[in-house]
Amino acid sequence: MKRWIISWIAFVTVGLAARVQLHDGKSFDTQILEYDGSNVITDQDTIPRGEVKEIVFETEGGQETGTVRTDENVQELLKKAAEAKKRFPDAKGILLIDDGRNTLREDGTRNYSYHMAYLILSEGRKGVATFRSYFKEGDNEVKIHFARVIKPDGRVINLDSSTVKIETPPRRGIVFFGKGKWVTFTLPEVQIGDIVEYSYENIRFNPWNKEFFDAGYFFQGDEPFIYSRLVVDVPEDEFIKWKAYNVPNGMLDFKEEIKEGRRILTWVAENTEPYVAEPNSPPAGDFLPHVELTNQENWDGIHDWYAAFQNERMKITPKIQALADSLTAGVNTDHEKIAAIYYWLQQNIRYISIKGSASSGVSGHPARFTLEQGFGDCTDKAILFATLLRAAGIDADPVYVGTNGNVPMLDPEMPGYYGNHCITQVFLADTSFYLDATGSSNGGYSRYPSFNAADHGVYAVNSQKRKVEIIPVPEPGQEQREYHLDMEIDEEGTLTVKYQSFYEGDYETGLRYFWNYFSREEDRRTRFEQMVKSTSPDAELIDYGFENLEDIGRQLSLKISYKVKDYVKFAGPVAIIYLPEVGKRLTFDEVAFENRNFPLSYYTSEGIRHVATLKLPEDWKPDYLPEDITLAVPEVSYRAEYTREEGNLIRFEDFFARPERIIQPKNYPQYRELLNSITSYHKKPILVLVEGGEK
Amino acid sequence: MRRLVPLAILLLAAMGCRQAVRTSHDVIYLLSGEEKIGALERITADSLWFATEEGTIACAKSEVRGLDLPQPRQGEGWKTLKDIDDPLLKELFTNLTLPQTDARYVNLYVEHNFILHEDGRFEKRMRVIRYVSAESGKGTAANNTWSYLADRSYARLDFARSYSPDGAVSHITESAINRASSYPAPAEYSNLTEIRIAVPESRVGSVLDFQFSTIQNVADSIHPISEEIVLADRQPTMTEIIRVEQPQGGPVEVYASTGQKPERETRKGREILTWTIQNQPPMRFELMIPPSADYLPHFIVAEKKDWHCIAAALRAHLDKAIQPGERLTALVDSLTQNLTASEEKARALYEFVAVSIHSVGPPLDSYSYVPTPAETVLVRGFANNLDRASLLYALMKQAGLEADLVLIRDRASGQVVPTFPTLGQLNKALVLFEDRIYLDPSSNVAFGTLSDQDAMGLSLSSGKLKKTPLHTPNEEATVTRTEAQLGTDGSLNLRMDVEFNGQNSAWWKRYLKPLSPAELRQEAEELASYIHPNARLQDFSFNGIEPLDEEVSYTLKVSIPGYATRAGDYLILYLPGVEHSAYQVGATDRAYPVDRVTRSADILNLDLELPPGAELIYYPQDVSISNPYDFYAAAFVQPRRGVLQFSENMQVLKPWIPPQDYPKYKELVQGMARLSQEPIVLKLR
Repeated sequence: MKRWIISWIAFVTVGLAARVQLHDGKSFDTQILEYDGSNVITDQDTIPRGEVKEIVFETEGGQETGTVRTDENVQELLKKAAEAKKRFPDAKGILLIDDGRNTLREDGTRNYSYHMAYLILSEGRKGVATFRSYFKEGDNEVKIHFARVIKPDGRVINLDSSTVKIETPPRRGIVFFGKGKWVTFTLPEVQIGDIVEYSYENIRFNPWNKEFFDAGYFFQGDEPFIYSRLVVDVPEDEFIKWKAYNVPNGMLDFKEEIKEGRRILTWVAENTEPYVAEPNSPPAGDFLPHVELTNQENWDGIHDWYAAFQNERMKITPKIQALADSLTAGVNTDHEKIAAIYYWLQQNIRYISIKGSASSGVSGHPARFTLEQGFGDCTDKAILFATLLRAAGIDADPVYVGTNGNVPMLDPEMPGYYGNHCITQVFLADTSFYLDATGSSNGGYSRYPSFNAADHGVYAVNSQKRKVEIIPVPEPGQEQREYHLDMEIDEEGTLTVKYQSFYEGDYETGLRYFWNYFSREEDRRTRFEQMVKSTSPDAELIDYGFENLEDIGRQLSLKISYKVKDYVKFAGPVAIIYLPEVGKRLTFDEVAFENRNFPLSYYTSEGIRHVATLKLPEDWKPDYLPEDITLAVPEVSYRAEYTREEGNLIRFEDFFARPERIIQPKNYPQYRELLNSITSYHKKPILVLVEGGEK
Repeated sequence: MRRLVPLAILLLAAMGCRQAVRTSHDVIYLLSGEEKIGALERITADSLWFATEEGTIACAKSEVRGLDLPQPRQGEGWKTLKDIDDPLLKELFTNLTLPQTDARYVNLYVEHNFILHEDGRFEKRMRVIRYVSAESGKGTAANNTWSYLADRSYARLDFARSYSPDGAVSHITESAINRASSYPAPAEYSNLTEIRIAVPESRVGSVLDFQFSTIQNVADSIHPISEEIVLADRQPTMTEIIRVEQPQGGPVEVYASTGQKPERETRKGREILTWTIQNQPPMRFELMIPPSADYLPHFIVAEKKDWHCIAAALRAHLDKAIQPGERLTALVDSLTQNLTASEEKARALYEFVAVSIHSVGPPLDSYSYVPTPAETVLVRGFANNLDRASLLYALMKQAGLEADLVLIRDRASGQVVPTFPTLGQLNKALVLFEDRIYLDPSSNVAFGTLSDQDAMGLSLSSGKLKKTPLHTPNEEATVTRTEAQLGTDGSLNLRMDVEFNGQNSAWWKRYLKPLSPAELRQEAEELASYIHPNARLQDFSFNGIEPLDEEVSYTLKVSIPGYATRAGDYLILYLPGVEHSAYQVGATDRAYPVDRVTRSADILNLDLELPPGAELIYYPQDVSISNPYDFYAAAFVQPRRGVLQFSENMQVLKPWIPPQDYPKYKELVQGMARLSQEPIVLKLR
């Protein structure tokens, strides 16, 4: 028997003049909405302006697709569940139905509807019972067609519509101020063995841009997918380009049909095995099967739209010109000018993200506003940065990127909304390069010309120059740590170490942030004491200091001196000595797995160099030094050598260089072997014969 | 053809020519996707006028998506320091000597006001005036959050502004204020709400000034006035004021952990108590610290009652919530049929709640002290801590078992102040079975496993305070048994069996349970790599993951080529799986106690078979260190030629170590780390 279909509308704007929200938390709908300069006049009341927080006006509203999903036959679904469980006995949960439909209308409004049935097979998957769908008043609305729990015995528990709520979710991690809300409910009585099934529709009656339409869909997850379908339903004459990625042969069925003036594209995958996530993988879109679709033949439309917003925001006001002039006064070269503005922006505009509409969503706020407020997000700062640089006579543009830990690699042939981040491209006479002035809420610390490693090796969309280009990954030398250890051992086996380190690139940025965060000397001293203690339980900090910690424009260096009593282990006449710190620094936790199915991903390249000298007591005779080593595969290389020098001095130098950011699975075993060889190499001690036998 | 929406915004040149446009931070959102900042001027039946810096735009209402209008706030007319008419600020700026500091910011002035009005409304306000002293402090100083329970109170930001070093005043914009639910889903538990703000113009040298306030509408025994303040800022505070104002003889009292007496003042029939704390130092960064309320100045502002009254009020609500309906009755019957012993029945009921009621939502002090009816919880199938415990209590009562609901203060929040009875101190519910076993019906926790040990709580049945037990080290032990064979070439074959007990077992169960077989293999490979990067996993098993009552254990079999280093005729190796760091005792001294939360034991037995003919020429000496808080012993035995046995036993006897005894702890940890850095040296023939 066909069950009733409940329909619940998150927020209906159709038929209303406006919704008025007051500062005291109350809200109401009104047909009359006028303002006389002091009061807001509504059909409810005349309200002093100061009491009104927000007004959302009536829009045309959206339409349902007309293809409201109805629930599957319960017995059919139970049968499907039983078969799936048999087929995937180890599964913690199984997605029985995963059916999405994107509909684009002639007027540019669009809907996304989704029908899901999920078999819960473990405690951890009970969270599926909680539904959340994001919406923004005035832009879109959410309709829930139905939701229910199906018990193994066929009993059905339908959603009680009174439990559907609107909530404003908090945004953790970054300082974000937005207008989004959730429609949410939690289905009751959900136990292991139950099926959770629902269908809903997200009606976007006011999309960011009615000209642009794109869609994406994954056909694999960390649970088995029994039936997975994407339908895209567009006007017959709509230009559509689509691509399937990482799809094995025979996995996906595709068909296209024209029906009543509509073009309907359908992709179906059945009985897809789950994938096993691996740590340090790139974003899932880089390796899981998925389909991407766009109605843009090229980037022209996107560039036009982005550039129009950007141009509106990048006006050089007298205040901006004055600031650019003052920051670049007294400096001679373009590089010095860029650096001066880069540092000022990182340190004087703190990170806060405020998003209210499509324009602030993609292009932030006007440069003058960001300057006035003293805060902004990546987009705001990229806009202000480019504007200040232009005011200083340097060509620069804001560019959009998808950070390499979060966003799948862009396919430049698929134009559309792209990225989660905005940085700046700078052009000089013979070169162009990228800078990221975003920093954090507590300041930015990138030393020119280094920039955030999350931007390395990804595409940048520059709508001012109408180009989509990849940002190169810096050479290992530009992302390098260099450690100098000047060491001496006395007759009693006490080791004294004078340490100095130098940094380049993102590591320097992170370290500068860290030590600025621990600003108090008392706390810094404790941190250094802990650092040396992790080298040896008998290590005692003698002194520490920084070079250029506050001066973002100069290379950061740390100086530490410490002493370790009884550092040398005596076994009979043999003294066993390890170089402190080096082995730990060259241990690679990321290669714990013997094999990988997916790439191993880093943010950027890496270089590590040690230059160490060890002075021994005069009557100690080095008996064994680890042999020199040179190791190389395309992704990484390492060389190390010990040499004996006059004055009973042992010198050690090495260089680790990893130019690649991504290690492909087929290359992983040899890559792993090389890294483990480095670690093993540093488990070899220096053996010294001690005159006079055992200590 | 698709309809294109024209940007029908008309720039009114005549109006745009005005020299001065009223400055405001109203925001207009247009259907084109554009937004503008300026001042709303007028709305008529079909049009709207909005002034921006570039001139006034006029548009049809149908082109507009919405408007944000800022709330008028105290002092919003101030443009420069000269405009300020707030006596407190005036005085502060007149007498202000900016501190020389290495802190990221300095709290110049913090004021907490608690006001009980005649009509029963309770108001709390917090004002903070803060000097930004370092780049790294500007965000933390300026981005702030204020929480309140939306079902019984309403909060607002009274003002937020900054004063720049050149004397300009910047006021917060409405768009930099957000109100959100802290636990938005399930919505059944969503009433804890937070206001987040970002004060503008926070730079080195700025002074920030903001005030939040909350009006609590309901203040009865189950929705108590109860506020806690711990002076635990990571940055220094020059002046902090706690002020309580109420009708003379009112019910609000204050607990001050320092014993500091307030200044008393009576004004127009109202009593005002003021505590002033000067020059509160910043909190140091230390590892393994207890909850800050246990060692830093701590104030509680509450209606002081006696524990019996609090228990009685809660009991009345609990009694209502546990009324059995058909579902509950039938459930108890089915779960306990054929069981006779009371503990068997308790275990069955406990297991039902732990496995079948999905754990969600906030702790009870962030939601409500009134339990949801047990029948409702059964229908929902999900519940927060209080509702899970109440359901278990209801099931046990229905089964005729002896049970008590005990509200404790969880270990992470610090200890209960028993002499200051107030409901607000309690934030977690346990069920006490037969006055001997505390039950915490959280997911994947075995019957009787307790994370909040040695915690004080209120028994609702007796109205008395009780303490949860502190388990013995063996009840919380991790036991490792390793057998290893070393080859002449330095390779090592190893079998390691690890068994967890108590909380460790519960942690591993929670962690391992969601993993698929392929993910368990990944986990085993990671564990093997911790022994040595070259370890090759030969075999593994994880046990006790599913059954609630079984402890978790695992077995690894690995081979490690090149485990021992060959250097000339020598083979040098370290004890496999024995790695202790002295990192946590790096600090020379401590200001705060060391807190290990519970007792525990780590026991390891290792048999190492040496290569044939190898001569053992060096191995570490035995170690034995003990103090009142810990015990550590490590010993080597050669039971026969070719075999070296190692045993190690580390026990936490008392979790809490006062700062003055930190050197004893340090000595013990260093001793352990020293041993793990000692090599074993063999000479090959």
